[in-house]
Amino acid sequence: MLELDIKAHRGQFALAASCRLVSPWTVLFGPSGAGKSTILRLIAGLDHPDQARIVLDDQLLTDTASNRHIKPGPSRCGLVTQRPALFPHISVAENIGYGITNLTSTECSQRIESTLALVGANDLSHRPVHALSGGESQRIALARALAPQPRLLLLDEPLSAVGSDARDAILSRLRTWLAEHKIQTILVTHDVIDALTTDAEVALMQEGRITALGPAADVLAAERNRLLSRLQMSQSN
Amino acid sequence: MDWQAFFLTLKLASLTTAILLLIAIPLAAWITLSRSRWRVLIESISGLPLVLPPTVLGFYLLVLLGPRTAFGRFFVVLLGHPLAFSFAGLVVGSVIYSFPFALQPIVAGFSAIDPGFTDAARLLGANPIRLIRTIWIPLAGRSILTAAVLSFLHTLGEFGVVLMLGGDIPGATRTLSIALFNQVEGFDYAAANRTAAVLVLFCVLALVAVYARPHLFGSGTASRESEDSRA
Repeated sequence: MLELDIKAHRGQFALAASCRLVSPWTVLFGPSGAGKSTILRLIAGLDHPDQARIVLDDQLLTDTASNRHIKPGPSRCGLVTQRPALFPHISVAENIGYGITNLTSTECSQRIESTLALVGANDLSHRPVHALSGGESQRIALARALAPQPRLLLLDEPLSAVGSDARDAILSRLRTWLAEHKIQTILVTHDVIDALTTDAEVALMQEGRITALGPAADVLAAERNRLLSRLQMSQSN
Repeated sequence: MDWQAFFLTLKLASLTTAILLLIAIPLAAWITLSRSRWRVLIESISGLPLVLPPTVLGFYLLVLLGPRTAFGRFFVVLLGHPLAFSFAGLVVGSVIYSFPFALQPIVAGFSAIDPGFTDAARLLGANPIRLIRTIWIPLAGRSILTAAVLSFLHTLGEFGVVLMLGGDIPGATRTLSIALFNQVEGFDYAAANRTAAVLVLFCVLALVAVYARPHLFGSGTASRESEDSRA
């Protein structure tokens, strides 16, 4: 369970989000500029909020009132964005192993192999980073965030450069794996179809606020109706 | 050719470069990471040798390292002799004189690293020391090489600070620049020509080494935009 109460300013943009996410898989949906990426960076601890209280499973991650702030890292959460930011001077396997600690080298290699299999990239372990395509880089970046098995996983359109069939297959495997490892996940999307087709809890974000939270059919009813009417209009034309 | 001055100069430049890298890399990392108000002051003070006349710097160092100040007397007790007019004093002077030539390229190199790499390393649990050692130093390799070459060459050619602080003691403080000055003063133009040619050759070779093989080192900017955008 993730409890958020965050206030932050970025220039003219004001973010004030308060919610309690209990579902193991939450889709954060909203238009571009709604503050989805900003809130993920604040949850990850990469940026500092004006005021915040963030609690993950009874552990206080950030509390500005008591000046408590757990540093970014797997003990806090993993974050994958559209930009893979793979370290270019080390191999794919070393990138994935970068965040793994407290394992023997054999266990580490096994973890790297199993994580590569999870994202469908077994054949990429010996490929130099500069030879990867955009989609391959995103798969490796996802594997790198999964390998340390963080307590919370934040996904900001992490597979935008991967084909839709491959992306659906990876996300399907990922959901099972995350459920097995009890890793709570927040997936950001601005694609209404993606949000509607999921059976996850959906948080609707608009102008820096979470305006609705619940099943996709309820939260996105207006979006669904708007899409249907556009479809009917295009068919009647 | 004054070989004693030649080897003394090489020793001075190598030692100065090594010390400078040891100081400049952590300081550059702090300058890049820090939001402290002291950052601007530290950067400004470290850039002073760029604009101060070397004789002014040499004069103040001579006073500071001499037996008239507490700082200078501390070294008299420690070493048994003042730092001024000794090789150790020359090293101290060279480190201060060449400091901006080491610091500024490394700060530029660290600052140019894509912040996405820093965020990724922090999210994977890297503390600042691991971040600098495993990500920043490899990616800013070319900037660090540039800093090392500039520091070495700048020390190789220093004159004002050496003359003010070290004087002209053969085997202790007489560097190639001082030897060259002595040769010209003694109208030994042939020897002066050889000394000057050695200094020119060193500079050219070092700069060619930097510019000829940039691919061996990190670019310093290490932007991944082009690769990320590949489909």
